[in-house]
Order: sequence, then C-alpha cells, then structure tokens
Amino acid sequence: MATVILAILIFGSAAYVIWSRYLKKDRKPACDGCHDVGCPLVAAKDAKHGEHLNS
Amino acid sequence: MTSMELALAGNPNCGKTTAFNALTGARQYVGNWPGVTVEKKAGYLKHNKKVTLQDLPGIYSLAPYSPEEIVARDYLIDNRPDAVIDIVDATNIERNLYLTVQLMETGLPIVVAMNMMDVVKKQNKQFNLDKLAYGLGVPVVSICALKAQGLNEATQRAIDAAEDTDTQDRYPLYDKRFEAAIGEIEDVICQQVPYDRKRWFAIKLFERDTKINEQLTLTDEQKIELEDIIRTAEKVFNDDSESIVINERYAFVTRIVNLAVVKKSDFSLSTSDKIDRVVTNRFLALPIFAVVMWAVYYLSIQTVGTLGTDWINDVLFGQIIPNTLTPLLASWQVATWMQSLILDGIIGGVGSVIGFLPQLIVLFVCLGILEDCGYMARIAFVMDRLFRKFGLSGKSFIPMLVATGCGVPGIMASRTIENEKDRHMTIMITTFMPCSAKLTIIALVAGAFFPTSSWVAPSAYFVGIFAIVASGIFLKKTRLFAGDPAPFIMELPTYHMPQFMNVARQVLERSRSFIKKAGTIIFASCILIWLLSNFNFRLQWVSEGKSMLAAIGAVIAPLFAPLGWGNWRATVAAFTGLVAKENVVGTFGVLFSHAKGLAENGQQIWPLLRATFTPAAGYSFLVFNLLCAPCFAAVGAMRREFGDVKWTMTAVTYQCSLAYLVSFMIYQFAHWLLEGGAFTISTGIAFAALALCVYALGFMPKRQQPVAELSTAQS
Repeated sequence: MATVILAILIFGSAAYVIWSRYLKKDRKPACDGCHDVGCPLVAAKDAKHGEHLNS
Repeated sequence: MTSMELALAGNPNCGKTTAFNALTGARQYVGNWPGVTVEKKAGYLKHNKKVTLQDLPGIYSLAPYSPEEIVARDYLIDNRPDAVIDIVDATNIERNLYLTVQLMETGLPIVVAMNMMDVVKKQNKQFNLDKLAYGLGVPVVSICALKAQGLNEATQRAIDAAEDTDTQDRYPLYDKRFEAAIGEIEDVICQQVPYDRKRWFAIKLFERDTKINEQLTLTDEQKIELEDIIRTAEKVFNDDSESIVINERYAFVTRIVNLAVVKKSDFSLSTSDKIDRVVTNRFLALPIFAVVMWAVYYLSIQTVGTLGTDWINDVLFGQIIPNTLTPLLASWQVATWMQSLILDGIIGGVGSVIGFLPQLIVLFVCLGILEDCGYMARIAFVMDRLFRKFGLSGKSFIPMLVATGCGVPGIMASRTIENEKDRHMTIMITTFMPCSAKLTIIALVAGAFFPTSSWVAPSAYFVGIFAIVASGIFLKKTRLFAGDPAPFIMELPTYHMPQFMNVARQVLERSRSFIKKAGTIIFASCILIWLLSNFNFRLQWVSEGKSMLAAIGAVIAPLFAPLGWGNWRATVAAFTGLVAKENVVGTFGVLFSHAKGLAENGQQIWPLLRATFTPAAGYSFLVFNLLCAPCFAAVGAMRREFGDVKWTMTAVTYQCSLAYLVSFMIYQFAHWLLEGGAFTISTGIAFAALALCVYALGFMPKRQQPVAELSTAQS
C-alpha cells in the first residue's frame, strides 16, 4: 500500500512538472531564474493599461 | 483620485529600476551597468494601488536610433502617461539634463528626481535645487534610490503635476530665431496634431525626423513650406537642422547648470577616477581581472563554499537522510524498487545537485559584490579594448555579463545591439560564458579530478572568454558576419560600497531559483533517468549495464571516445544537460548511486569519476559541457531572438562543433603530454585541427562585405 501511495505521489509530481513546464499551453517562461529575478521580457500582466503595455 | 499612470525615465544606469523596485515592491533585476532594462515594465505603487508605474529602458535621447529609444519614445508620445518622473544622475548632470529637456519638449508633466546626491557631495559639488527647479520650470526633488529616500515625495509631486489642470506650457525656451522657426512649423501642422504635442512634432519635423514625417499626412505645399522654414533657419544658424536643435538644447542645459551647480573643485580626480587609473589601465586591467576571478572561484569552489558543500554531501545526503529514510521505508514495507527510486534516484540525483548550493551562494555573493560596486561595468570597458582588436564590439560583452547568471536574459540582452550581424553573433556566442547552472559541472570536475589545483575552476571562466574571442575573430571573417564592429559608448558608474540589500536580493533570488529548479526539472529528470537506467526495453527490472539507458548510451558513446570520455554514463550525462545543465551532475548522482559503499561516503561521485576518467578526460568533459549547446530554455530564447529556426540550428551546430573540437584537442594534447599517453592517429588529427584553427584565426583572409550591404549601411 505504501508503495502505491509513494508511486502515485512521486510519478504524479514528475508528470505534473513535465506537463506544467513543457506541455501546458499557458506555461510559465521556461527559465525560472529569469522569471523570478526579472527577465527583461516579462511583461507586467496586471498593469492598468494592459493593452498598450504589450503592444 | 482616479487611476493614473506614471513613467520612470532617465539615462541608462541612473537608478530607475532601483527606484521602481523600491516604489512597487517588485524584484526586477538591477544591474550596475547600462542596458539592463530593454523593455518597459509596469507595477503598482506600494502605497497607492491606483497608480501604475512604468519603468522605461534607459535612454540618452528620444531619437529613434536604438531599440530602447524607440520603446521609450513610442510609449511617451503615443500612450501619454499622466506624468513622467525623470531620474537624473546628479554626478553626470549635463548629459542627464539633455534628456530632461527632450522629455519637457513632449509636453508631458515632468518631475525631476535628482539621484546620487550623496556621491555629488563627495565630488565637491553643490546643487541649488530651487534654482534648478526655477530654471527648468518643473518640480525638482532630491532622492536616493538605493536607500529609497525621497521617492514617495517624487511620486506625490508627479501625481500633483498630473492633476494640475493649469495647462501652461512647460517647454524649455531656446534662441528666439529658433523659436520663430518652430512657431512657424507649429502653425503649419496645428490642424493635424493635438495642442500639447505640437511643439514635439514641430521640433522633430525641424530635425527632419523621417518617422514623424511618415506619421503625418502633409500635403506637398505644406512639405515645401516646412522645407523653406528649415532651410532658412539653417542659413541663419549656418548649420544643419539636427545640429541646431542639439546646440540649442545643450545651450539651455549649460545655462541651467551654470545657474544651479556650484563646483568647488573641477580638476581634482575623484576616488573612482583614481581607482580606474589602475583597474582599467591598459596593461594591468586584464591581469587584475584574472586575479579577481581566480579569487572569486577560489573562495567559492576551493575554500569557503566547499565547507558547506562537504557538509551537505557527507552529512545531510550522505548520512542523515539515507539513515533516516532507509529504516522508515523498510518499516512501511515499501517495495525494493521503490526504495531504490527514492534513495538512488531522487536522493542520489537531486541531492548531488543541491550539494553545490553553498558553493553557488558564495559565488553569487562574490559576483553580486563585484557587480554592485561597479567593477563588472569596468570589465565591459576593458573587454571592449580587447574585443575591438578582433573586430567585436564591447557592446557584446554586456549580454555576456548578464549570462554569468543565466543564459536566457543574456541572450535577450543582445537586443541592445543595433547592428544585426553583431547581434546575431552575440546571441550565438553569449552562452559560452559559464552560467550558474554550469558551475555545478565546474565544481564537480574541479573537486573530483583537481582537488588541490585552484586554477581549474577560474579557467572555466577564461575558456568561455577565449571561446568568445576566438569565435569573434573567426566568424567576423565569414560572409555571414563580415563588417566593422559598431561603436560602443558606455558610461562607467561611480564606484560605491556594495549595498547589502542589492547583493542579498540577488543571492536570495538566484539560490531560490536553483532550489526550485532542483525540486522540479531536476527531480523529474532524475526519476526518468532512474527508470531508464533500471529497466530494459521489455520493462523488466535489470542491472544498470543491461538497461535502456546503457543501450542508448553505448550507441552514442563511441562518438565521444576521442574526447577521452567515451563512457555511456558520461555520454548520457552530457545529453541530459540539454534539459538543464545541473542534470549533468544529477545524472552522475543517479547512475553512480548504484555503486557499492556509496552511503558510507558522502562525496560518492568523486572517487567513482576518478576511477572512470583520467584528469585530461575530466577537463575535456568540462570544456565540452561549457561550450556545447545550452539548455532548452536558452535554445528557445535563441530561437525567439533570431526569429528563425535556420539561424538557431546554425548557432547550435556551431556551438556543438566548437565544443567537440576544443575538447578533442585538449584531451589529445593533455593525454599525450601530461599523462604519458601514446602518440596515436587521433593525436595527429588534433595537431592538424590545431593548425587549421591557427590558420582560421590568424591567416584566413577576411570576406569582404557585399557592396549592396555596404551602400545600405553607409546610407
């Protein structure tokens, strides 16, 4: 039973990582460091005038 | 108050992003060199969520020449923020006010925020801010972006200025004859542009700005009338129109500076100047840089950082975690394969990567201090001297400095290079600089094969620089990249004591990112590697040597035999490094975890690696992984920046070929000369390859730039 639970947890986590990093449509930028530290191209999605920020 | 949008504008490296972070609570990357911000970014004011703050790229003018200038200019003119906070570096007042004057010409409400006033004091200068405000006709506030002082007052003054309904003109007034010409142009275009923008358009038309000309739909009569006005002014001033405008702006700035600035001693050298006389000295600069980088790597990999790494490897992942988990899993009656997955796959793989965190932290601290105090900007200046000799622009070095953290922003920072050929070449060679992920490979090889040699780790840095310079020389001779390098003008920031918060934030963010990556991508990769290394193609549990991974690796491994590491484990590790470079270490962690007696000694991988390769092969493996194609994220960034799959494939092929060639020569020569290896056919081929490299770098004639391209460039 413990083996099954651990298998679900471990393989589920790995599958989630692969899905969210490589398969999901609106996935985060691939590079964590740049996203967190301030990638030069990360646009501010929540800005008031979002339309022209991304224009 | 209704919602409002303010913009932060200013010269490069004047403190905009520092002010932006302090005002919005954002954690945008702050680099102590120009050109860090290449796109505008937005955030809400911490204390007033109704106000959005835009951080614009650093610019020297609103001329449409560089990508940053175009981004800033389009935003200011087309989107019209409610007010602009112009951050002025008080240590370079004349040049900074030149931009202020242009911002005022746009007709937007402006607040001037004088930054670095503390440095000005040390330079024996004094400012009369009231006189400055009077002369400019706009509010002036003293701020210290680093200490977040005066920023709230600056934003409040900007909000007040935006809400001020008094629409009096805030333009700087120039020579009366010039004003008359501008007035006449305004009359011609007044039907086509809004009142508050007509002066901006008039000045731009006077400058014969082609973009503005295209933007307006002027009749032929109007165009002739405008040309008459401009030509008359050119005759009166005996100069071309663009120079007239520049002269007028500088004359205005000079009047303001004379009014508001008191220089106590003009001709004494500042402390920064004195340091620069040594640090950027023609002969001493490079040796000093070599010593500094040696010290950085010595501290992080050989001494201070190693203490923490040893503890994590020996105690945490060597004893505490395995000794706790093994009986626990046994008591839960977990299947043997699952125990192996957890202990060998996850703990062995992720643990071997996490083990390098202390060394990385020390490296991040050292690089953060060097960057924040202003030394790294000097390196770009010093490198320009070296690069220029080989036909490269020093502007290419800024992306490479950024790439020491991560290759992705480094590749993106190449956007600041206007010349397309130079930009393409920079994208292609930027990732030769060792990023923080590659540091794990450097530390692994240095620790395993050269535990007592302090030159190995810093040499990785210089191998990267050498690959960049050599590639620059070679590629510039090819038809794809032929041409003169673009001029590089860079302002050197004043030296200052590194700010604890700046360095701490950088270290924290980079470390957090490293741990996050280990817990996600590396975790998933280790599980996959464990599965592939424990099951055969019939999905039967087998020994490692009969696994899928061994079978796949064995097919590819002979390709790397001339490099000294034609071992399937090393081959697989190099390939998994394409997902993330830390995977190289993680893969060794998983694959060597099967070896006996592993849990008894924390630094498991080192002796096993030593038993597998010779030191020459180890160094060849290191160089190959440093120079070959970067991780997928960086390749994706290259694809975006090239905008072309063909270019991306060319770049990746070039990187892999160079990595193979250099590693091949290193192994063949080192094995023959230092390890007593026999002189074989491969050694002979290595000599032939060396001769070819010497010819390509030194004697191969340069390809001429095609005539059509030359005429385009000159026009």
